[in-house]
Amino acid sequence: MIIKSLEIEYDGSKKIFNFDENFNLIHSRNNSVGKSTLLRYIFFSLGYNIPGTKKIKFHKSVVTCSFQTQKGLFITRRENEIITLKTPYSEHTFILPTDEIELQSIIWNTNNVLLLQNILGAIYMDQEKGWTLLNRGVVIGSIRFNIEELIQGLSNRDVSELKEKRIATEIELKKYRQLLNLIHYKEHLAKTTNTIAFPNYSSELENKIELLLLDKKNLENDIKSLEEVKKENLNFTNFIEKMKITVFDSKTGSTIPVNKNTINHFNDNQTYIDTRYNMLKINLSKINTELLKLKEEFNTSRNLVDVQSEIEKFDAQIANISVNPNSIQRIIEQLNMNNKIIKKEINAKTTINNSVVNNMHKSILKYAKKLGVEDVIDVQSNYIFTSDLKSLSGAVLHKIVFCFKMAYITEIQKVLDIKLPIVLDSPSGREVDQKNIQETMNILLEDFSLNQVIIASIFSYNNLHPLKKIEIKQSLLESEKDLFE
Amino acid sequence: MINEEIVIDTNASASAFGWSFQSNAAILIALKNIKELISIKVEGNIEDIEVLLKNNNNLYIQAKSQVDPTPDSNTYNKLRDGLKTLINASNQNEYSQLIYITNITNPLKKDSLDYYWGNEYAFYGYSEFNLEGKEIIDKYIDVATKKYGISNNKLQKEKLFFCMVPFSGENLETRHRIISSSVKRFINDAQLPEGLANDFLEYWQNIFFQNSTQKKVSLSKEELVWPLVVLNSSISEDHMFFEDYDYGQIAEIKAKYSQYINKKSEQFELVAKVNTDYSSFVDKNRDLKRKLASQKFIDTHWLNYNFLLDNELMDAEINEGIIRLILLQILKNRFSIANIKKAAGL
Repeated sequence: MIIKSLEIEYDGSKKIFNFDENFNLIHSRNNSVGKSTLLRYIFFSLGYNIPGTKKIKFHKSVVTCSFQTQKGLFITRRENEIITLKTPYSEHTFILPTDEIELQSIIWNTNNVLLLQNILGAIYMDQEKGWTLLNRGVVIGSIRFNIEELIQGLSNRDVSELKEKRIATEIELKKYRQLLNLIHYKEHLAKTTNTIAFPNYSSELENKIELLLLDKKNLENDIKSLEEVKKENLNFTNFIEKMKITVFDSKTGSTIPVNKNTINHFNDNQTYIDTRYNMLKINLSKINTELLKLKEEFNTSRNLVDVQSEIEKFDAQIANISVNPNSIQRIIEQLNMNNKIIKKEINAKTTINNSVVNNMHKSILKYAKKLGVEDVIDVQSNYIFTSDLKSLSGAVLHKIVFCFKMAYITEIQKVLDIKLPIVLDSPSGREVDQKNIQETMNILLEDFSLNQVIIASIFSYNNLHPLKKIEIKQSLLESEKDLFE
Repeated sequence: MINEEIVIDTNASASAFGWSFQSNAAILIALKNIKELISIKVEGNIEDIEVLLKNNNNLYIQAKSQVDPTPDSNTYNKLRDGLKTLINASNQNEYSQLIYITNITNPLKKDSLDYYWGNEYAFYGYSEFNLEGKEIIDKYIDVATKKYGISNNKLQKEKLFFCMVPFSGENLETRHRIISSSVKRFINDAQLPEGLANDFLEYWQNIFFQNSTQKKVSLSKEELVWPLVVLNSSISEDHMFFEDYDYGQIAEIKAKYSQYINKKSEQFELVAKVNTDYSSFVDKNRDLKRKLASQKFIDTHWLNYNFLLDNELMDAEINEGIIRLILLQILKNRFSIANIKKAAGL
């Protein structure tokens, strides 16, 4: 693939950058004029989620990139999240980031998702992260590179099921670890604090209040029922009195009217009811007094609880958790074991009898020899999975990273059957001297002469030939006129 | 500061003690005069305790007490102040007795009068004292009238009485022993179980103490004695009635149906019917003693009252128990009303 041109419209200005199919040098004498921004724009225009810079907001720009592929000239035009891809035979519009993989599968002409996700990490060396990214980590922004995935993609080895298993185990592990943390916290609380007794005091009072309220309700029911009975009784005698019944006493010969006063036991009954009524009222008032007292106490105690901070409330809740820490510990150990086994399985599935691994290792060794760092590299082919970067000094790491990247590119090109553009941001930065640069450039000249190489640097790479130079004087989007001034 | 607080504290508990003595003294005097009693007032307009008896006989009572009942330097001050308000009362209304009631073990603070007082309730008229005693009383009547500038023209010494009630000690049983035995005597007269005495006394004391800011309490004889009927109406678990029931059934009846039972035993329609049924039952069975009569009445008649609970879902035994309890309660109330009325002269 060859990037032909890049047109940038930003903040009212518009500029086209044209690239040669061999070596391109984006050059400026000073730093911070926009070289890196231009490199980033290239991948931004191809649909990658590349962050802008402080000076230039990518989402406010419109970029058009034309590039040559095996299938002809492709043109992408990106405006924020919308990107259109024009090919000789079709035109598509994609919404990013949802359609990113779909777009890239057309650009790179492959459906291999794992491969697509790791191309950028192989061909683009950002000035910040690029030269220290060996086999796993951040390429730029949120784009990551992972050698296992790349190899799985390159060799078409499907470990997705195992991966899902691993993710599930890890989520579970995380939860159990949190739980264990809580238990430790609880133990810590038990040792250091005794203020968590507060809520119990209120709940004791609450119980008392509840019991009294129950008593109160019963009393009120009794009182109500008494009132009803009293009324019923009065209605009953009123009914009788209305009938104006009299009875005749044969002994005395007198006539006695039937009413409340002459009905046997009636007044007694009513007095009984009145008495009981009064007694209940006295009890009720006693309970009410008691309730008032308890409620006051309760409010004071609750206020005490209220002035507790949220963390104290949290503590109180934690203190009530009852989980056996030993069983949690056992579960965590078991999950860790499972996780290790899954990892091993994934590893085995990725590496065993995999020519890609061996080829990559060979390439790395080859380039390391050329750069004079072969003694750093373990002869074991699984060295490519190393996570030991600390032992490498700045310049050595720089070279090793370059070796790895070139090895990746070599293998990806084999699978995709195309030549990849190689984009190097400030390869001469850091602790790298001119001799080292020379050696790396020699590798490019010898082994990647058919690849398009785009370099951004403040140095001029005179041994690269033919070299197209793009000069930036003051700022990326300066007009042609400015250049001549 | 600290000393001041202690003084205030002592005063508060001393005044509570005084109030307690006063109300218990009122109960005691009321019980001593229960047959003639019409009503009783505590913190009345004229005196600490005012007792109205039949035939317009009024008792004016002045209560003086000390936490420590041993006579001390204050004893005569108390006598003087007590006599002052009693003389004052004599000027305001007709009276049959003026009573100075105290817990001071020797109210006139005279060793030679020791034999008048003992460990029991003691009540003497002025005329019963020896010369020494009379002289002390006369002296303080004189002091009181002169000091407060009141007239003692209407004071009839033959109507002046001195009463000592032992009332002291931390232990309430000890402190209330005289009033307790008085309550028990009344309950025995009313042929009610003696066990009610404590509840009854507690109830009275509650009446006096339910409102500590409003001390005026006025009670008629009915109001005083009727609570006994109510207290007696609650049927305890060990009542012989429950002998045939297991604890689960008793608990169920008490928890679920006590309100219903109360309500039914208060509905006059039913009360009248049960009382009438019972009267005619007794007429036919005159040879039966009362306790047996009511038991037999319930045994033979409860089915007649099955209409009260026509509930097929209810356990038959529980159903029977509830009806029996209603009948028992109605009869019980009838007996206790009759007995209390008789004992109290209502």
